[in-house]
Amino acid sequence: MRMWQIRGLPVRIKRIRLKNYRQFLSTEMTFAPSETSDLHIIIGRNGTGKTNLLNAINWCLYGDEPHLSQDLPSPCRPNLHAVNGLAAGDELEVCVDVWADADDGTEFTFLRQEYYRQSQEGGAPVRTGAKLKVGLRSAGGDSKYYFDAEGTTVVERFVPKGLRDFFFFDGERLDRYFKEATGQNVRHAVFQISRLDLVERVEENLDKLAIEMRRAAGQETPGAISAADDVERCKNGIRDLDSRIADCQKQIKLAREKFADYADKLKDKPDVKRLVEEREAHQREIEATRTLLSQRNVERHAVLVEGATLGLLKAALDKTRTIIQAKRKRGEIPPAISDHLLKDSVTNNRCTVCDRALDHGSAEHITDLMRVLAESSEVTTKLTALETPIALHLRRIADLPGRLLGLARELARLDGDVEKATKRIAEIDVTLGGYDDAKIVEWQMEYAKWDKEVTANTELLGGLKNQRVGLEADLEAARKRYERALDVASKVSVLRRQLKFCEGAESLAGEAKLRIMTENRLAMEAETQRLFMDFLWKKHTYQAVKIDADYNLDLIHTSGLSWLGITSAAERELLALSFTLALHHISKRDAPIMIDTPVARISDEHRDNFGKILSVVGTTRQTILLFTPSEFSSEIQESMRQGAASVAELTLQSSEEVTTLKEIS
Amino acid sequence: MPSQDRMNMDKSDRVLYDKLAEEPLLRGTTRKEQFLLAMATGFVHNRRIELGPKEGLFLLKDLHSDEEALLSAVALSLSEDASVVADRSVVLKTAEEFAHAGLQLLLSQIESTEFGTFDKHFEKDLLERLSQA
Repeated sequence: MRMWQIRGLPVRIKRIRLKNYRQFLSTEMTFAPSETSDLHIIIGRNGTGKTNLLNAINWCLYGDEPHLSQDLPSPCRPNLHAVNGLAAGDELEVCVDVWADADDGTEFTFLRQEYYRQSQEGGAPVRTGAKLKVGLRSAGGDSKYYFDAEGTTVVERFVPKGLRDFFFFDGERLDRYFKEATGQNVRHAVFQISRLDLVERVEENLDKLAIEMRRAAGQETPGAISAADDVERCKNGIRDLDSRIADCQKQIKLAREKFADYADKLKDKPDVKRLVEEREAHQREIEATRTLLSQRNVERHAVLVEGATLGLLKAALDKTRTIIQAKRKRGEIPPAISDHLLKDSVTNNRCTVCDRALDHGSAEHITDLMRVLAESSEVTTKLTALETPIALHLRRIADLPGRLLGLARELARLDGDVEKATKRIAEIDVTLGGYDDAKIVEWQMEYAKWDKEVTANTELLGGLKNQRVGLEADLEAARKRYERALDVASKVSVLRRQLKFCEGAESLAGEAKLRIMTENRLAMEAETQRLFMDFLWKKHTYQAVKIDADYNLDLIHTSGLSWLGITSAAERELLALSFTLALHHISKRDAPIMIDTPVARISDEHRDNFGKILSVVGTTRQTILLFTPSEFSSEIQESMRQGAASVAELTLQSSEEVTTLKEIS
Repeated sequence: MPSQDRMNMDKSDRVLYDKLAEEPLLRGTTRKEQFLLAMATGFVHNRRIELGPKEGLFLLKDLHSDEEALLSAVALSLSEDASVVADRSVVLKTAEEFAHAGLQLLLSQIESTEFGTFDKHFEKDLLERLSQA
């Protein structure tokens, strides 16, 4: 039997049989098309096994289950009800069987089986073996079977593992696809459909061949050996840098995704870190201001008590000053002067104050003054002693209103500061009310961390790219040195020609790869745009879909502006669906499409539109949609149910171990 | 007779001084400061009452010269004879009698106001009195 060709041939799944696989004890689903549609709807509550249907197809074809929850421990693959019925030594078979038809009448059966045995000790059964069996029956009735690795080769021709995400996926992927690093995703997809893995292997082998030839030529012309080594070193260096650049780009992609995740989480959330810091600063300010207020109040009380004592005695102080002044006027009180100063002046015959020599009259006046002072009574002495403190007290009384007013103003200002800070704290409390402060702060720290990570890796990437440019220049120089060294040895001319051919072929393979990628990129761009514009319910909003040379996908608004970042979830998912279907078209793979929870992330108003589009898709290819009951709303039912070829419901039995399937239309 | 070494109060004033000290405005003030305020209050209301049984309130050595000047000014303002300043016993007795009366006046003022608001009234009265003087 010739190796069949599936590319370009419509293929559809006609039956899936699950035995002892997770919730499915023994379930068979058939997917017969109607005259107008090949749309199949399966409805099931959470936990009934919708996502495990997606896992079952993946497990059958590729041997893994990519849609298991990463947050929860995965229970064992064998059905629990079947496991519970096992006695020690009993064997159990888990299998998923997918039957498919190609348009030319070829039938495929993909069967993955796994065997388990219950141990004597009990617990989970132990896996004892596994196998993949792929059967192929031509329209003429010839049959052939392929097992394990050979079977995997057939699977790769059915839906290549690298492209399976475009055929069997969950609705979240549609929502997420263009939120993440679009350039990386789109480049990967275009690379996959371009089937360039073979070209890459040719390039690698041409390179190995060139190294061997350079070495052989170097044996004949020893001067060329070091130049050949340099060429190899530079090429290895460039390869190493390319690998580091790829790692760095992956890291940037991851960091951008994380950054976007946290930005999304923090969207519309208050800046808790700043607000908590501000609140703490205000609390500290209030505490410090209250301490100052308390100090100022103590000061004010002291001023008030002292001031009141003096103020209430003002009349007495005024009267005392008047009495003293009157006595002084009457000469009953000698002038206030130091007895020592007078004595020193007379003794030295020189004025102690102005340092002038005393004349006779002055000396006599001072002597008289000293006599009057000596003769003054105790009363006079007491009155004289009162003059200075009373003057000071009266000055304090005069200053008192000003001091009290100054303190009152300061106290009012401090009270105002406390009030303002208290009000701001209350505002912050209202802003933060209902939020988990610690969680948001944690998110903010993660957001800052990933932002830093993006910056650091972007800088690193720039450095690596610069190093690569330098190494390319070194490589060119080494190649020239090598050429010059070979010029002197005519006997290596054949080797040189072969080497030149080899290097030229390698370069052409690289260019061809680039050309194929570019052709497919442009074809993807055109087909995605055609499908998107065709499907879209708004006909005058967008003018184009673009995939630029760096594989960044964008949606261009009629205004000419880039619109992808602000488009609605429904439009974004529609764009991802259009991209997926374009990829099917360009890769010439007309295989079924299976989507888990296709409209879960689309708001009610757009669900109806999206449902209609999926119905249209169902008329052109086999489409299997897995809905939750709430997702399969009345609007969706109206737009899809009539056109669907089949509608079935998954129900989890009361034991919660077995799911059954019931056709409901 | 040994000279007086402490300022006296009426024995019954002990509790009144304790009560006065509870008023927030006077919290942390010394007995001497409380006495001077009481004396000033008695003086401004021209109320003096002779002390009954006496008890020491604070030591006179703690009285600074500027505070002693206040006592002398009170005594001098009541007498046309300046020689009163030389008679310390008269000066002290006058101060004690004004303080005895003033203490009661102060406490009745405090009691007539809401707790915690006396300082406001006190400041207002003081500033009014000074603006009129």
